[in-house]
Amino acid sequence: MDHPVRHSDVDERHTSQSRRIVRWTGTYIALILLVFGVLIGRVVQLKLNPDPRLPKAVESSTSSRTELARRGHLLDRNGRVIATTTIGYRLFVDPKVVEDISTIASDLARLLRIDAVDIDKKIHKRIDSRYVVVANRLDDSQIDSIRDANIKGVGLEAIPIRHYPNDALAAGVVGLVGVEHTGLAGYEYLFDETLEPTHGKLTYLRDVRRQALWFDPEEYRPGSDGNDVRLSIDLVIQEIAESRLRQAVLEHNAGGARTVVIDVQTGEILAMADVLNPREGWDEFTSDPMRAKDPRLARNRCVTDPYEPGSTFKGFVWSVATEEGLADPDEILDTPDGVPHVTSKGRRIRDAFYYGKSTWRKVLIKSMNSGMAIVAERMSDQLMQSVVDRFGFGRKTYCGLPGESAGIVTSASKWSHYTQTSVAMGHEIAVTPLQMVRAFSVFARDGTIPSLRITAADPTNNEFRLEHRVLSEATVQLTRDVMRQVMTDGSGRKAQSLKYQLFGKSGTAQLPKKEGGGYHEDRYVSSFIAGAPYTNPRIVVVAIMDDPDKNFNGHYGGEISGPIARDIIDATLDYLGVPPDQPDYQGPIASAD
Amino acid sequence: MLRAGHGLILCVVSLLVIGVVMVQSAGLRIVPDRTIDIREVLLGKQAALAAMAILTLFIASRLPVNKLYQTRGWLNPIPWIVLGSMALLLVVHLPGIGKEVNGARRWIELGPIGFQPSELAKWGFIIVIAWWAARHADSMHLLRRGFLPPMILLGLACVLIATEDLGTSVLIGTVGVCMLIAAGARLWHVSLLIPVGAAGFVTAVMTSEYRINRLKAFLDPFQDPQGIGYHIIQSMSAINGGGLAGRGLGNSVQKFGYLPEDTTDFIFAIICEELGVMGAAIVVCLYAALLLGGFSIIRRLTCPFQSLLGLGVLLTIGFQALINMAVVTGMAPTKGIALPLLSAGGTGWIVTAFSIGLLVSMDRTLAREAENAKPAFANRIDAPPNATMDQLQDQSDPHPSVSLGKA
Repeated sequence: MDHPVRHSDVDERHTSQSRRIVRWTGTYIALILLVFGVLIGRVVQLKLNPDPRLPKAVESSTSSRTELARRGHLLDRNGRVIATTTIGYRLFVDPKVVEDISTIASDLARLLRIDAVDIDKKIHKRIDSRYVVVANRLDDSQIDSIRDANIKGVGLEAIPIRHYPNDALAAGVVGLVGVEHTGLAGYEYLFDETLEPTHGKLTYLRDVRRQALWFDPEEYRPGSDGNDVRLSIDLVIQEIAESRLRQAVLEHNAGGARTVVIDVQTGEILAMADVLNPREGWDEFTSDPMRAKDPRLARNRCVTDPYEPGSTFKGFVWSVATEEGLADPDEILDTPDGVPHVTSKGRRIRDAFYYGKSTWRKVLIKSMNSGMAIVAERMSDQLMQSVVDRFGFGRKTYCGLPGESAGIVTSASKWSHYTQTSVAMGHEIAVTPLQMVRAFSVFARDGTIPSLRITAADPTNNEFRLEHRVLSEATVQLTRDVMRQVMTDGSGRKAQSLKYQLFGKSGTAQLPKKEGGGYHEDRYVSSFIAGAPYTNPRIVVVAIMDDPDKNFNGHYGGEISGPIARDIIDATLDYLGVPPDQPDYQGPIASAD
Repeated sequence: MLRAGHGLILCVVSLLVIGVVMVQSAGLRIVPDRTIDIREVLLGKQAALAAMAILTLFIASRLPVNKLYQTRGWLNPIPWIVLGSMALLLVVHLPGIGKEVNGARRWIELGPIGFQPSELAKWGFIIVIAWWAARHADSMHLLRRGFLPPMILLGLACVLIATEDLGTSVLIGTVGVCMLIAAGARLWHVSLLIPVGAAGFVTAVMTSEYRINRLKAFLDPFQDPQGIGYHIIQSMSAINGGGLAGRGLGNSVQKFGYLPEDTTDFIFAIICEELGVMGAAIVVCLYAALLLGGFSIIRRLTCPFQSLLGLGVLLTIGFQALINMAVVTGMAPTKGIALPLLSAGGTGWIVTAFSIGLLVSMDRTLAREAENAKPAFANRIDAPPNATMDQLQDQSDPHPSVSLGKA
C-alpha cells in the first residue's frame, strides 16, 4: 500500500509519463482488437469459402466398407437351385506393409498348406503393388489359421463365390460369372441385371492410423440381395436330354447332337442340350474352342447354329398347301415309279423310294420329294415364302438368349424355281433347333404359334403372350393326323413309343461343305421332330444328330434321331405324370415281356 | 460492486475452463471397451493445473506490486532477475543441462519440473523494462541514457533465445520495444533498430532449414501438402470442418491424429472445428475482455512502473494470442507459441495467471485508495451532501484516480 507521502511525490514528470503510457496502451490494445476482428473474419472465411485446393490437399478421413449382398439364385422351374452364391474369403498380401518379405511365402504356405514357391512367385511378380492376391476361396481351417497368425500385411477379403451344385448339367446354358461376380455367359449373363445384388455400404470416420472411429447412421446404406430367376428349364428333363444325347453321339460316332424340349402350351423351354463329340481324324463340321476351356463358356448351338432341316420341313409346306386348297389329302398325284420326277423347268427330283402315283397324304407319310415338288410348282413363290415366314423361320425367336441366329433363308429377290422346289423338301434353308420346335408346336396346339420363353411361366399370372394364328384348327388336326401316320407307316416307324402316341417327321440333309459351297456326298445332319401325346399334345422335341458316322448305325433321321426324340419324350412325359395314350400299353411290367 | 479486476478473474477462469474442456476433448482417444468418465476430466492433470493457476492468481492478487519497485539495495530483485535470466538463457545451450525437445534446446529439467528459460525471461524482462523506464522517466527520450541500456540487454536476450526459439524472441523483443515506446522512447530511436532487428531476423531464418520450410509452407502450403505444408493444411481443414456451427463439442475429426499438436499450439483449430465460429468468437472476446479490463486498470494507475508492468503483461498475452491464432488460421508462419490459458502446457497457465494476478492486485490497491479517498474527497470540495453523491456516482469506478490527480 502506498504511503500517503507518495501522493505528494507524484510530480509532473511522472504524470506525463503515465498519460503517455495510457495513450500508447490504448493504441496497442486497439490494434490488437483490430487484428482479433480480422482473425474472426479469417475463421469465417475458412468455414465458408476456404482455398479451393484445401479439400483436395486433405486426405479423406472417411473409409467405407462394402457389405456384400448375395447375387440372386438361378432356379429351375421347380425351384431347384442351379446357381447360388456364398461368401468366401480371398487372401491378399500388401508387400509394402509386410515386415519380412523373404519369409512371408513360407509362413503362408505353412498356414494354407499350399506351395511356397507359388506364393513367392505371385508376390514377387507384383512386388510394387499394394494388393497381391495369394489365394482365392480359402476353406474354414485356412481362414482360422490365418486369423490366428495375424501377420502384418496379410489380409482376408470377403468375396462372393458362385456355386453350381449340379456341376456340368446345363452348364453351357447356364453360363458362369467372372471374377467380378457378374455374368459372363449364358443365363448368368442374360439375367445379370436381375441377379445382380446391391451391395451395402458403410461409410465411417477413421483416425490417421485408419482405425474406425464412428459412423453416422445416415452414412449406412443397407444392401439388398439380387433377385432370383426361375428358369423354364427343368433339371430332370435337362438331365434326360443330356444323357440321351451323350449316349447317342457315341452310338453313332456323331460330331455332335442337339435337342430342345418345349412345353407347347406355354412356349417354355424345358430342356436344351448341345453335345459335341470331338473325333480323332475327322474334319469336324462344328468346333467350339471356348467349350474346351470351360463347358460354361460353350456356345449354345441350339440357338446360334442353324442346320438344314431336310424333310422335317415338309410338314409346314404340306399343311399350308392343303389349307390353301392347292392339294387335297386324298388327291392322287402323278408321282413317278422308279425314275426321278422332272419338274416343269427340267429339274430332276429323286425319291429315296418310288411308290408310283400316290395321294398327297402319302407324299408326307413316305416323305416323297417328287410329290412335294409337284405341289410346290402349284404354289406361288410368295406363298412358299409365306410358309417360311409364317412359321417364324428367317427371323429370331427373340426369346432373349444371346447370340441367337435367325437362320438362313433365300431372299425374295434371289428366289428361283430351284429354291421353290428345294424349300418344299427342306433344302436351301437353314433353321435353328429353337425355330424348329417353335414352328412345329403349331401342329401340337390349335394352329397358333407361341412365343418361346426361358423363364418359368407363372400359371396364376395371366400375362400377355404374343401368339398368332398360322393355320386353321382343321388343317392342324389333319396335319397332325398325317404325321401320326408318319410314325406308324412312314419314316418314324423305328421311333415308335410303346407308351405315347407320337406325331412327327424325320429329316436327313446332306452336310454343307465348310468352304467352297456344295455338299458332302455322305455326311449328313439327321433330325427328327415330334410332339406327344397325340391326343392332347404337351411337348415338342427336336433331336438333331450332327454328322453321324454312316458306317456305325445308319444315318437316316428316322432311324437314328427318331429314337432319341422318342426316348426323351417317353421319359419326360413319364416324369411329368402324363398318362400313356397308347391303346395297347399295358404298363411297365407288360412292356418288359 | 464488480470491478475491472473481477472481470479479469472471470475472463481467466472462463478461459481456463474452456482450456480444460478443450484440451480434454482434443486429447480424446477412442479405445474399445473403455468409457470416459467425467471424473477423468474433473480430476485430470489439466483440471489440477487450472486449479493451481486460479490459486496462483489469487495469491498474486494479494501481493504488493509496488514493493518490487520500492525495494532497494541487495533486496532489489531487478538485478537478480536480469542476471538469473541471462544465466539460464546461456546455460540452456550447454549439453547436459539443456534438454532437446523437437530438435530445439529450450528446456531445463530440475527433477520432475521442466521449464523454459525463455518463458522466465519473457516475464522477467517485463519487470526489468518497467523498472528501468519508470526509474529513468525523465531520460527515456534520450538515446544513450534512456533507450539504449535496456535495449542492449533486451537485444542480448533476444539473440540468446532466437537461436532456439525465434518466436519467443520476437515476442519478447516486440513487447519490450512497445513498452519502451509507451514509456517515452523516441520513435526515431526505435526506427534505428529496425535494420538491426530485420537483419537479425533474416539471419535467424536463413540459417535454419526448418524456418525456411515453415516460411515456404506459410507462403504456399499446397505446394507440398504431405510434407512441409501438412501441418497448416490440417489446421485449416480442422477450422473448415463442421461449418459455421461446428461439429459440436467432442466431435472433432481432425483431433484423431490428423492435426499434430492438437492439444497444445493448435488447440484453437479444434475449438473452431468443434464449437464453430461461435466458439472462436467467445475465445477471442474473452481475450479482448481481458485486454480491455487490463486497460481500464492501467488508465487509473498513477505509478508508471505499475502501468508499464500491466502493459507488458497485456501485450505479452495479447500478442501471444494473436500470433497463435494467426498461425493456426494460416495467416502467419508456424511458431511455437501457445495460446495463453488454453493450450495444454502446464506451467504456462500458472505463470500467466500469476501475471494477471498482479494486475488484479493493482486494481485492489486502486479500489482501496478510492475507498480511503472518498471522505477526504467529499470534505475537500466542500459540496452539499447530495451533490457529492451525484458526483461520486458519476465518477465512481472508472476514473477515481483521474479525479484524484486533478484535486
